[in-house]
Amino acid sequence: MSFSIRKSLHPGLNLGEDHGDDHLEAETSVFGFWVFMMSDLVTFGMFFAVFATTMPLACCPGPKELFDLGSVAWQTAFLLASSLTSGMAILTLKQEHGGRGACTKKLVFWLLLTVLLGCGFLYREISDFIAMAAAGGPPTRSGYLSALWSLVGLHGLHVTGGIIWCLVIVAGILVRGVDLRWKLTLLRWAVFWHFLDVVWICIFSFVFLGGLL
Amino acid sequence: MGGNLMNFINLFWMFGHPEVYILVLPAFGVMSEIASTYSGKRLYGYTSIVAATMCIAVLSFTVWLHHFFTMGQSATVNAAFGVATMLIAIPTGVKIYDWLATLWGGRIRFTAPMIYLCGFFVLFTIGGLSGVILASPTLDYQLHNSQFLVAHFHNVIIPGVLFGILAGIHIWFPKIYGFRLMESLSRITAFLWAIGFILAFMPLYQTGLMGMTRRTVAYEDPDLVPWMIVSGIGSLILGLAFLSILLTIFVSVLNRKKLMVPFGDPWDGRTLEWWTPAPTPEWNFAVLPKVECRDAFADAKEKGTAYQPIEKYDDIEMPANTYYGFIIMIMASGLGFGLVWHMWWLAIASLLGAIATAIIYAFLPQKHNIIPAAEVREIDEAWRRAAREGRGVTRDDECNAANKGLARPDNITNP
Amino acid sequence: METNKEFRHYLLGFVLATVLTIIPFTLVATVGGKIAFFALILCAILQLIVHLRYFLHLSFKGQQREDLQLVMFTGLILLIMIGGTVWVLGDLYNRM
Repeated sequence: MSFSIRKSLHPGLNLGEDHGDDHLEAETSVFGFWVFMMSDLVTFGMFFAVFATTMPLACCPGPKELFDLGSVAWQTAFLLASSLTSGMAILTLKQEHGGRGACTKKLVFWLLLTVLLGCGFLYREISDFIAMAAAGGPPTRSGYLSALWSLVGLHGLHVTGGIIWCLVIVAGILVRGVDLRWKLTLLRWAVFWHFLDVVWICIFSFVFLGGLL
Repeated sequence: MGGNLMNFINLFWMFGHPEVYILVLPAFGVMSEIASTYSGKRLYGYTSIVAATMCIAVLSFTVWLHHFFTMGQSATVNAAFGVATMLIAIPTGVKIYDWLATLWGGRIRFTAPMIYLCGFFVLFTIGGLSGVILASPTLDYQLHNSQFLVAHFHNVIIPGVLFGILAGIHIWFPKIYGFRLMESLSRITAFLWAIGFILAFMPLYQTGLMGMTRRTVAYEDPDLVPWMIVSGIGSLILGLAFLSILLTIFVSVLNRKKLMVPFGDPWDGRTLEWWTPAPTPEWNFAVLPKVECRDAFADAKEKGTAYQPIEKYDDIEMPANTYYGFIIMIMASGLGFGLVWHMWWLAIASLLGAIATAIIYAFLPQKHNIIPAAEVREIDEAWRRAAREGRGVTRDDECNAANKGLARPDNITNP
Repeated sequence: METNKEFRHYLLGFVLATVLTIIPFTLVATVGGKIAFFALILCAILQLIVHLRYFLHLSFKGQQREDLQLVMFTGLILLIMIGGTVWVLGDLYNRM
């Protein structure tokens, strides 16, 4: 290789230098996924923009009648904890050098724990949606509620996708062992999962807490 | 209660305006190629072209409101977006001047791409200037939704995007298929496009100023009739231009033996893609070329090192073909169709099918084809030897049957 | 050794993010008003930075800049588009 592999582009979300050529492949793969992630971020940004323009219509029923602060706090806790466990999964991956090493079990454990926390988040979110509809706030009620359901629902869909993706990775690791393709997939999934938490920060801050102020 | 319908217009043009710049971006790339290749010079002001492109990348996101100046927002908002729109003319002007400067003092050949480029210089600039007129909110209240607007955007998209695409087809056709297009017919096509465009769309500026709205089916004002007749004649010529493209390809395929360019460099190219035989083998480069400057191939030809023998060849690993992407594409089309026509069964089935296909593919072993080094060596060495022994043609014979894709220097010094 | 350092990095990020989450929730539940509003915005921005820094490992150092430039360019585009939408639609709303 003509260029140095000592310097890594993604120090945390990467394999580490003792993975050799796999490490180099991960650099470009993860960077490409960053570009996709940014386009997804723009999509979320536009949902936020539309939501912001409907804020003056937020009434009858509005945030005060519809939101449950405790439940939002639970969802935030679930997602933040899952961010940490997915980070632990990546740390374990770095010690794993292909095949079915000693770390495979640990890796699967962290991934399944992340999935479990994600499911906890989804459970609370769906309960909240059902409660909101029952309290007279279905998406068809007002422009504000349409925007709210679309924005929060889009994030929920992303979390669902992330959970399915993670389960596929777990199945792949168990079937074929931790080979290069699953390593790269895992790194991309980790970027995706961290980003869902980043978007959630904006949602709980501006949609829920901001709405209640 | 409800939302604001105008938000749809706002969102649509926030996508739609950057989109037209994305549309013209590859065409601008083709124009850069034409200017340098067909004048035998390095592209002038490469850095400033890149900087201008990046300026446009940011500015393109700041102008979308000029599509709806008349929607009812206050004059301050309109003024801000009007100024931002006019600013776009500056980086675009930089590019035009760079291409003009590239031509200066070069070994210019008036082949079909050069005709497109000249048409582009004149017509695209007129289109850009009418855009600056439209960017003024006060004038836009008169011109909004009129034929003037129709004339403007055809005036940038046809000489900009379409001329770029057509010229690009003429340039890279031999690289893909191994034989050139008939030069004489291509030139006729280029002129038909330019003349047809001028007759079809320039009158619309006038009718727009006279108050004719866009998408008009019938009108009563007799003053409009002469302009519309000219425009109609223009669109007939554009129809001929379309036919002329088909004729060019048809006649060229019939004469492909005479038009063959097996050496792969019919235009005395400057960039790497011309450094391969035509049609290009599936591995593209037998050995990755070493790039030490811009226009690496032109540099190698000048030094006489372009076709030197290579000592060591390696096996080349190519990813195997797969039809999984195609299946996902079909399902994605089904999803889009189902969503548009509210056919929920189709939408759900396609979505699940696409996801399942992707998951199945993830579990399949990845295949690779290995092309042995001996096979690569045989083909590559034969090509290099023939190129070293061949005489090639100067640019005087570029469009003759003598041009087999091997370029000989013209011995003309650049300023 | 390296792994230990990275583990502590993640943990520090987690603690910071937790603190920056608890502050706005408590303020909204108890104090409310203008102070809570500004604290909310500040905490959100800080937590975004914490996530990018400690979980997604962006920094100004060396080649990692490429990722950061990508994020910053997207941030600029988002700022223009969200700000523009709010400005235009807000202006229309006031004139209706």
